[in-house]
This record gives sequence, structure tokens and C-alpha cells, in this order.
Amino acid sequence: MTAPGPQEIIDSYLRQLRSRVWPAADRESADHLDELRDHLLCELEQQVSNGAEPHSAARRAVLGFGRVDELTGKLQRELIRPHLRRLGNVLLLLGLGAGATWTGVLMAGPPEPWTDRTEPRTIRFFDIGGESAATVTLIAAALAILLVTAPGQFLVRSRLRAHCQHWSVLACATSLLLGLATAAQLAGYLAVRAVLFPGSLAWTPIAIAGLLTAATVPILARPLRAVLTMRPGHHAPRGAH
Amino acid sequence: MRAEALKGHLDALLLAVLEPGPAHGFAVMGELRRRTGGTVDLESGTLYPALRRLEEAGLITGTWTTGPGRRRREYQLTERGRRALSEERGVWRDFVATIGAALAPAVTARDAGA
Repeated sequence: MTAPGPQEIIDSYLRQLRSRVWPAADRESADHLDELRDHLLCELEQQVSNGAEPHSAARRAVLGFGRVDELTGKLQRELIRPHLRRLGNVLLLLGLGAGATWTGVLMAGPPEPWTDRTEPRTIRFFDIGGESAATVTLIAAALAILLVTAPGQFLVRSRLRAHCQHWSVLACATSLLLGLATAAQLAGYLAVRAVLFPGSLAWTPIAIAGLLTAATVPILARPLRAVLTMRPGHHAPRGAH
Repeated sequence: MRAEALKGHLDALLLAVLEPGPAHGFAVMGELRRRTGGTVDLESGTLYPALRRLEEAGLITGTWTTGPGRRRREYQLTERGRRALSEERGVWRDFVATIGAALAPAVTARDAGA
């Protein structure tokens, strides 16, 4: 069995780091790893030019760079920020898009077969509940973007920047949960209206809007996965790829 | 010198190292070590998050170049970064003058007459 070459020692270390810091491989993680690889190779080259043996130089470079466990938290605290901003943007845009689509579908369909005085209680519950949840969903998403963007520009060294990042994660979670609550309220509204007033809904546009809404899930899934795997306190299992 | 001791000054140090021209992470680390006679030896886990933070704040900008057979990310000061560095220098000079005056040994009347 042959000993790993100097570059293999460095690449193996970077693979471990990648599996802990960036479990979801993407272009951004590849860029960060290229930068760290360049650093390690510079260190290796410098030590070799100073007369060190390449294998021990590679091992020293890796040891000097830091333990994977220690680096993971330090890197993730900073690297989560663009994903958090992206998640906030996606939540806001999808919320606005879904809101406009469903409002349009319901307004373009048959008129509501009730007046303010005769509106069934269950429908009123879903109506008000859905509108309130949707409003807070959008406010929380906008807040999440603001909390992660403004301090990054103006509070470079302030401790408040880290607090704002934490609150941004909470705002994203709130927006996501209330987005799901809005979807549940809408489903409840449609189900009750279909039972109480059969024929009062245009099902073709509703089915299309439903498919469009479902199609947005993968758009949301990517930044959400990145934020979930990089959030403080979460560490990917060792050796995960 | 550990990162804790540099708290509050790390950004200014990095901006000062990048002032003469673009440099990559390893070169920034080496230059900082050289300027401080080896006293400030940053850890990679401190350097790279700090560079990201400065980049997000618009104080430095990073670009990809081609190193010796590999990609390399170099950083350089932006105009905003130059202004921030200038302010940091002013703040540091005031700080040193104030604390230096307070810490200086008191001159007694006997010392003054001697």
C-alpha cells in the first residue's frame, strides 16, 4: 500500500471540510474550496522551497490550517449569510407570486355565492386566517432580508451583526411556517366552499395555480437546505458527502 | 498573538495589508506576519470569514485570477475600504495618544527639578 501523495493529503482534508461545511455541493462551495486549496498549496510550496520533505510539508500545512471541527463553525457562521439572504428573497418573491396568482384565480372565477351577512363562519375563518398568515409571511420574509443585509453593510464589526443574523434565521422560519399555514388555510377555504357551494369554483385555473405553486417547492428547497445545514449548532455527520 | 487579542483591530490590519495592492489570502497572512515580526499569526478560520465580512461590507472586492496552475482569489481595497482604513488610522492614533498619556509614568516635581 503506497502512502498518499502531498496533494492527496490536502485534497483528503478538503473533502472532510467540504462534507462538514458544505454538505450541499454547489458552485459557491466549489469556489470557497478552490480558495482554501490554493492557500494550502501555497503553504506546501513554501515549506518545500524551505527544504521540507513534501509529505511532511503537506501534513504540516493541513495541521496548521486548523482542525475540521474548529473550522466548520467559524466558516459556517459567515458563509450562511448569502444563503440566508437568498432564502429571504425566495420566500418574499414566491409569497408575492403565489398571493397574486391565487387572488387572481379566485377573483376571475365565479363570484362568491354569499354576502357579508350570509358568509359561513368556517369560510370567514379560513378567509381571515389565510389573509393574516399571508401578510405576516411577507413581512417576516422582508424583515429576514433586511436583518441580514443592512448590518452586513453598516455594522461590519458590531456584535449586533451576529444578533441580526440570528433574528434573520428566526424571521425566515416564521415566514416559512406561516407560508405553510397560508397554504393550509387556502386548502381549507377551497374544500369548505366546494362542499357548501358545489359548482362555485372554477377548478381548471385552480388546478393550474396548484401545480404552479407546487412547482416552486424546489426553488425554495435549495436555499432552505443550505440554511438548515449551516445554521448554528448543526453539524453534518462526519464523512457525509 | 491570538485572534481574541486582535478583536476590534483585525479589519483595520487586513485593510492596511491590502492597501498597496491586490493579494490572495495566503499572501495577506504572510504579509501581516512579516509586518508584525511574526507576532500576529492569523488562523485560517479567522482570516477567511473576516475577508468575507469585509467583502460583504464593500470594503474590499474579490476577483478570481489564475495562480500557478490553479484558480486564485485575490482581494483589493475599494474606495470605501480606503476611506474606512483612513478613519481607522485616525481612531487608532487618537487611542494610542490618549491611552499613552494615561499610562505614562507620572512626572513628580522632584523628577522635573532633577
